[in-house]
Amino acid sequence: MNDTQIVDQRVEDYVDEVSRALSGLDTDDRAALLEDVREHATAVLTDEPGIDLTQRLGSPRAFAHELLESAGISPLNRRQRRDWRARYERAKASRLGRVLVRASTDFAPAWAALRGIAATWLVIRLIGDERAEQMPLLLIAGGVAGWMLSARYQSFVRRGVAGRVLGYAANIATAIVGVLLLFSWVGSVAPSSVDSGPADPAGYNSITQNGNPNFGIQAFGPDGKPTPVALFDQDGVPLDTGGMAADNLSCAENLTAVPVPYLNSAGQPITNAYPARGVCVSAENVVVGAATAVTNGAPVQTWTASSLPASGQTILVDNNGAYAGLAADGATATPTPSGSPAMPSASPSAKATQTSTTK
Amino acid sequence: MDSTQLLKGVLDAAVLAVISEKDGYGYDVVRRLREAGLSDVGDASVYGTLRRLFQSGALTSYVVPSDEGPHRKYYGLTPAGDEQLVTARMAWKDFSSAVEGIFQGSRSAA
Repeated sequence: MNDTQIVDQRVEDYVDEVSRALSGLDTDDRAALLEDVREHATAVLTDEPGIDLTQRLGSPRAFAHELLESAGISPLNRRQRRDWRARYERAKASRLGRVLVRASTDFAPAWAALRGIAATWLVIRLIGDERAEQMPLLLIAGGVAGWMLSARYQSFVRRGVAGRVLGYAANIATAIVGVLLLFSWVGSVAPSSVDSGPADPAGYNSITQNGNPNFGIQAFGPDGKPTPVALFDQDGVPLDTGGMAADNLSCAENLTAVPVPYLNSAGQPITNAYPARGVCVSAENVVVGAATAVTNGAPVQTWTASSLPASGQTILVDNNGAYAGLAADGATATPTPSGSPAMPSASPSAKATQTSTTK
Repeated sequence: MDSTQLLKGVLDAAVLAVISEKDGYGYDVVRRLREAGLSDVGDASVYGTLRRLFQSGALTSYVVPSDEGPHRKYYGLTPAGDEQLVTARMAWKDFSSAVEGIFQGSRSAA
């Protein structure tokens, strides 16, 4: 056995004794500490080849105790830490644990950005909604800051127990805020009960109700008959629900309904005019008569167009701000529509009447 | 006076100060501390302190191959460690001034 082997054996013997004194530590901690002990013992014997390691470094047990104390690892809690550590190590070694560990590494930059976003969102919520309009930009800035300051944050949360607790709290808060923001975004893009759907290439918007296309809007005039109207949404975009279709026309048997579109001043067909109109034709495409617009049981209502109160007249206004008749010298009784379903009262203090405006 | 307790209070700063002069491995840091006058510093204490400072982010480490034996783990100061050392220096200056003032006062009284 040569000198190097003797040196190595003395080092290994000493390390083995220290290792026994460190029993109860988790595997990684113990391995790291023993590596340091091995390196140091080797350096000591390289400098002082004839020295006895126990005499030079102290007993292995005392060395281990001093090492743990200065490293901040309390020997009294080692057994308790070992139990939790063992459970943690088992969880990490499981399939799900391995996936989560890998994900935590791969997605660390994204998590850092989300942490910045969460911190920004919390601060804005705490100081009030004055900056609500700038929220998207502020959140983006927070995400960038979180990503850029990730290294400094990591060094901070490694400082002692307080830092680690803060780190856990930050991760929990980030997860909660992230879920809240995700639900908020999903809710904002979900279809509402009635809305203007996507525009078609021709520039018209369609109407959807509960996510389903709503075709064949029917408009009726004061005479209770379908009346031509052109429909637009709140932004002035024409609404097309496919009303100008053969399905919305009715003809006698053996005749075919052919929709005849309304034309604009340029002679172009417009598809936001209702109701459908057309002609009934024979097999030879000879017009037999006008087609009837299908109303599908829509309640027929008629009403008399009444004039607006004249300038100078005093009117009654109910609690909802609606017209409730003329005041004092002439309350006008406006006729209710014939054949109409019962209309709800506008307010307890006024009789509800249906009026139409005339142009 | 037992200097062991005093040493415990300043060992972190002493290790950071030694490494701030030049990166070093464990045995090297022990040797430099003893050459500076801290003859009572324990080998295990230095290694435990190095590990704790590394875990807190005050130190960084890297391995250097050695012709004389196993590879050596060198430690260097991080920006966080530099800040910690600056803070420790200021704290030590204030503390040592205060203690010196107390000693001066007691000497006068005696």
